[in-house]
Amino acid sequence: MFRWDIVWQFLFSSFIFQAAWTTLWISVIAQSCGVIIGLFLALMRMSRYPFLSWPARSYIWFFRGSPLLVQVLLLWDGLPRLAPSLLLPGWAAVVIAFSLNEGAYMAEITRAGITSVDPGQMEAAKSLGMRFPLAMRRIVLPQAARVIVPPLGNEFNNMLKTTSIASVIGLQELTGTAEIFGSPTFTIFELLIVVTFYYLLLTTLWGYVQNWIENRLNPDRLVKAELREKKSWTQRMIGFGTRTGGGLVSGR
Amino acid sequence: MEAFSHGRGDRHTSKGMLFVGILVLLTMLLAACGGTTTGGGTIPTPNPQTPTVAPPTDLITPGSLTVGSDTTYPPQEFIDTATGQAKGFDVDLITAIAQRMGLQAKIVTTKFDTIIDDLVAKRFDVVISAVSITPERQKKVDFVPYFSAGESLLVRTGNPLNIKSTGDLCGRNVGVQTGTIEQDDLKTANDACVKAGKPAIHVTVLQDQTAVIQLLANNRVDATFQDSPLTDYYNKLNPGQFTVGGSVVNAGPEGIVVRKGDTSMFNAIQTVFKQLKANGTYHSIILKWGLTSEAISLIDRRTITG
Repeated sequence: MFRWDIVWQFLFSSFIFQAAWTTLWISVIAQSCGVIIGLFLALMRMSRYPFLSWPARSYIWFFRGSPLLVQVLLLWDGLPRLAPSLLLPGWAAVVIAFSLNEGAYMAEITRAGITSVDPGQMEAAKSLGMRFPLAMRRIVLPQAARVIVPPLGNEFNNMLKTTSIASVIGLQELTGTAEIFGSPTFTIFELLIVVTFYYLLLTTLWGYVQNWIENRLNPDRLVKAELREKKSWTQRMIGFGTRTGGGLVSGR
Repeated sequence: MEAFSHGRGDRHTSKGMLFVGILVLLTMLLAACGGTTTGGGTIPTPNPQTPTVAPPTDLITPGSLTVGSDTTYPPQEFIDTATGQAKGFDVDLITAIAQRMGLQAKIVTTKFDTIIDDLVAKRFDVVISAVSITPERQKKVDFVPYFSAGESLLVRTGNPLNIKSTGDLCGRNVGVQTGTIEQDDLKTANDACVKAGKPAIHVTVLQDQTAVIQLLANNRVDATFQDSPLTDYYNKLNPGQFTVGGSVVNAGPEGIVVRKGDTSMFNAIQTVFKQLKANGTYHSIILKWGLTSEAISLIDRRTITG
């Protein structure tokens, strides 16, 4: 028997709002840290100096090569065994593990973005007297950003759902809250339906934000011909829909 | 034709959508900030007691007794879905004990399979979470016995497979929660099956007791094995859905868990527990949760500790 009353009781419960908020802030912080770590790792990885590129390669090798769940447990249970003072609170273990892990993935995405920019751009910038950091910041990265942002959006969408891993150390994000609030009445399934709704809400809202960012980065965004090519949000989110949606366009 | 429909109107709709999105996010944020914190809050003190014992000095948070508990195990510890606070027999007992030390009990929700390691790592001052006292666990931590819970099997109504004890589980699918004493007992029962030349027990081990019972509801297993108070609580909430297979077995003590060497905490809890037994508080909490058959007498306690 399915308990609809339980679903309605929790759909707008402040405990679930709280959990959704936890899911959201963990995702935002971890993704932001991941982007920054990824940028520096990508630059290190592409360096011609082995003392820069090898640490980056090993880092990416480790964090992409082992399960995130294991990395979380290593930080939560493993660190205090090494040194009792390294007793991380649950949220910190999760945010650090997610950030480090995401950094490895973002490094590869960022590297792909930088590689996609014609090397002539860097040469031209240097011949104008720009040093490497300035040329990177002003010339290469803005062009790379257009390549980086779509997979970045994908990563953040993933991150929102990956936070459910935090439930294994008792953190009360959406999935953990469903387990805890479902157990008194033995109705975990009903609670999982509720949190699924919230995951979909968060990922859908992120779909809009991603659309908006991509349009901001589009240099042709004011050209009507380009607008015609824009996919509607339904196409972007679920793969079909009218091509006339127009997306989120930010005018000047 | 369609191409020309992208005028100002469309832009407005898109902006409108974004606006609605941001509005929903903000509402959630506000609701989140306004909401009470889940689980980890402080238990309100209904009848403040005058402290009778000096609190131990090595508390994680001075003034609070930080208690680790897997709050997914009714009726001993679970979350009140209306208030988000922990409640149950264990929670009432540890709250009463904390009061007598002049402390506020702060329940920290955690997972059962790592609960003893987390105590050793000093994430909590004590653990109360229906933890059975076993020689294996006593190597790592100390226990103050407070309860005596048996184990029982939950099976389909009418018990069609005639499961009366763990001896009847050979060749059957059984669900159990990870890290529990029942999991160990199933291992022993399985060895007995194999020794007798019978088929092995197929055990499904999950992290959550609720998920374990869900296995039975979905016919993935023939029986689940857990503490008898939980079995009885489930049957009380869902009368007629399942039935108890056989009788309660292996009734054994459960203890409040204290770190080895934390003698000030151990002595304080033991002293307060004796007082609560003597003045009737313990008995009234037992009655409140309908756990009379699980209460432990002082004689039991002596045999356990002595």
